[in-house]
Amino acid sequence: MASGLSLPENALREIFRCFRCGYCRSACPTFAIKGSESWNARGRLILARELIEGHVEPDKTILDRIFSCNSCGACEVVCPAVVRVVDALTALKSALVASGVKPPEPIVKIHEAILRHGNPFGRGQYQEGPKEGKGEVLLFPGCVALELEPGLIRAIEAILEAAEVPYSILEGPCCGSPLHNMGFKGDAERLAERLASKIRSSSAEHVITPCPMCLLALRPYLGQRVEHTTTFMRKLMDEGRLVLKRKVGLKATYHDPCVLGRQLGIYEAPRELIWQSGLELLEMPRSRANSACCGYGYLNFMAYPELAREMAKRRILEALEVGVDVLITACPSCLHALSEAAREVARALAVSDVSEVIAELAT
Amino acid sequence: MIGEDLVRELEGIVGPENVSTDLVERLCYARDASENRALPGVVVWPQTTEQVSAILKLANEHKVPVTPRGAGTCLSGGPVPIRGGILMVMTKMNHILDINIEDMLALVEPGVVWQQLNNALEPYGLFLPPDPASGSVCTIGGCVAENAGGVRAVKYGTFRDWVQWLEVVLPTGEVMETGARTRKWVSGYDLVRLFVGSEGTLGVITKIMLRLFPRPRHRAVMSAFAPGLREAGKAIFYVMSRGLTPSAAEIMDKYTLEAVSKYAGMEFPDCEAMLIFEFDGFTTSDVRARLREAKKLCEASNLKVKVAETEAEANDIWRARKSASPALARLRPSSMHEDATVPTSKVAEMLVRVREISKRWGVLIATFGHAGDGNLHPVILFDERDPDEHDRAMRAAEDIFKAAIELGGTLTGEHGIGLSKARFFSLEHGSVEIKVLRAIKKALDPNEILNPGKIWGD
Repeated sequence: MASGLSLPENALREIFRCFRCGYCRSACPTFAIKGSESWNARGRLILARELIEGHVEPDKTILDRIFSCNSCGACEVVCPAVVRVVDALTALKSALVASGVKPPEPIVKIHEAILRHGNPFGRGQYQEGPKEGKGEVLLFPGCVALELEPGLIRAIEAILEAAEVPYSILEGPCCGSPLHNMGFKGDAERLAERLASKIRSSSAEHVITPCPMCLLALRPYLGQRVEHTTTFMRKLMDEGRLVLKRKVGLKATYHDPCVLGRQLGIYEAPRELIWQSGLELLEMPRSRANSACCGYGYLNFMAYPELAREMAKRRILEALEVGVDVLITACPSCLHALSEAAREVARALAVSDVSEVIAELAT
Repeated sequence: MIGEDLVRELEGIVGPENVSTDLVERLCYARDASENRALPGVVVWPQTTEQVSAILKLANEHKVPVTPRGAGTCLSGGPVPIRGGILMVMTKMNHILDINIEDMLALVEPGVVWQQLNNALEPYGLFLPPDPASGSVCTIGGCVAENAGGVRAVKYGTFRDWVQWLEVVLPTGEVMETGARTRKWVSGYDLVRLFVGSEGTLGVITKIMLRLFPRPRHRAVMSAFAPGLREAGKAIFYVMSRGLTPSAAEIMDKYTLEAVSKYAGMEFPDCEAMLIFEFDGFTTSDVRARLREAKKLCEASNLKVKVAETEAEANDIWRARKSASPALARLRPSSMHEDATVPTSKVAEMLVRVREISKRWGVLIATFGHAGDGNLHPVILFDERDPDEHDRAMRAAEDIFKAAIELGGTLTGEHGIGLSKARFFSLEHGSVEIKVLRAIKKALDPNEILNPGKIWGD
């Protein structure tokens, strides 16, 4: 029995490459919480095969298993068959959506909000053009920072001002990246293309964003012209334009955001900024490529709030084990996740984006 | 099929949150790391010995099959519920109950993960030596049921050599304790050894007492490159028979090396096979002396030896070995990992025969594995979506089993018979032995409810 699902050959190859060794059990954050095989990469790839071969209908339970994977990619690091799980499951989500299957309700709502309002929060349109004048830098904060972590944007602005870098801000449109992860490939590509063309028309030399997911979406269109705030800040420091006025003598640990680390390979820049700040950096057992997902990436906290919150809480407990004063990250979604979780389980632990730390010391 | 009533009763035993009849769960618990697939009627997660006992009593009464499962990393179909029924997942019984430093013993529940136990032992300077490759995820219960091995087995043996005592729930629901806390014991039949490697067919293991060993403080590593497979085999035989007790004696043939070279960007000298020897111990002089002796023996067999002078060089050698699986997995869409095992003296002959089999069936077979104990892993690389190639791969596997038996070896060194090799079981075992095995099974499991269809098949 065939399912009518049409997946590109390279995605099929990845799905069939899984030989079900189960090594992903040690890495998958949803499996760590749910404990049953259907919530890890092996289970999801088994379900992908069963769907493709038409042995099972895409009902709510199976869709939850597939769509609750927020592409953190931890499984890929431990996979001895090097299955590109993120690409495979994203292709499966796209094939399901393309075949007319309705994704889980919260995802449908996010999709509608982004198409209607240009952002997932559904609160009016963002400014789709640089706010003021021309600048060397165009800052694209991304929707999570704009809506939930405005303090992060103020911190980046303070850094740019301290370094005397002229800049302007572009609020929208959406980069499309959550939609890509949720299976709306066409819409995601159209949005990314639209955003890229807006950016192309700006004369800014550098485009910077604190959001790794926005960066990932824009890279294919803008190449190295778009970069993460951490790599840009490091450059400013190397060039002597950004100077820290004081240092801070606390113990800190750094949470590698999944997309920034595993997808974009940016591990050093945030760490170098932390060292520059004078903070003593202690690593968590799961760091760099083995970092554990905070749960919030690709707006997963709106689609699967309970799972996402539990993932964030567990990460906070790992940070506490290391015995630090500050937990630092470099992504608006991680910042939001970990701040919320710390408020719940570890009020004494400060959570900051690396930009906030640098802004504090540079002004 | 599983009736509604039975499901309600199971829910009564373990709570509704620990029972699932959902198709999605059943599909995911239908498979392990082998090619086998069979859906259970219901998946159950017990948390205590009493619950396991109640489930088995119930199943025995209703003559419903029960298949125990750990992390499902099995490579032979052991936890695949070929007759449906109840799939009993042991992963929620995951507590380390005691670490006894004086007697060097650990008492654990079956769902404890190998890595979890070894992490807990590290502060005491102790470890559990058998090291299955799946250690980051596999459960101790699964290791015991399958008599798992690993790289270090060449020196330290397999799980069989480290289990002291067991609590087992028999298929009738009765709970039995067997074994002793002492290193020596002759008090009755050795039922511990009967249950180790019984592949979940005789009872469900609910507590395991393991012997531990002091963690060696030093190691020395070398690689050796052989101009031919026979030279490689000879070198292994010499090193093993000289009593040098390497803690690892591994091999990778040239196809594996080519794949690793491409995958991990590593370069190797031109050769037919690379050997890796590791020596561990408690003084540097001891490990170095044994390594020097092994070096001489390898060079006498015309191998080019490279001794790791630094920890980084040692890690590089191991990185090559650990890249074998991923590197091979990228070569072709599907892979079958066999573990036919031969006496150490026959390793060279087996390597040559695997080459011939590869040629005969026109499928790529790369071999790596634990050469020191003759436990080779020929990996058959193919495309399972091409029926003709799939068929040739299966025939090649069959010929590998036959070759191992002809050379005085066994079908499986560490993966188990399960379903995958059940139809070859009689190649290795005579009718009298099989009669005895069946009699033991019947005595413990009169209704044949526990993991039916495994080992000798039907």
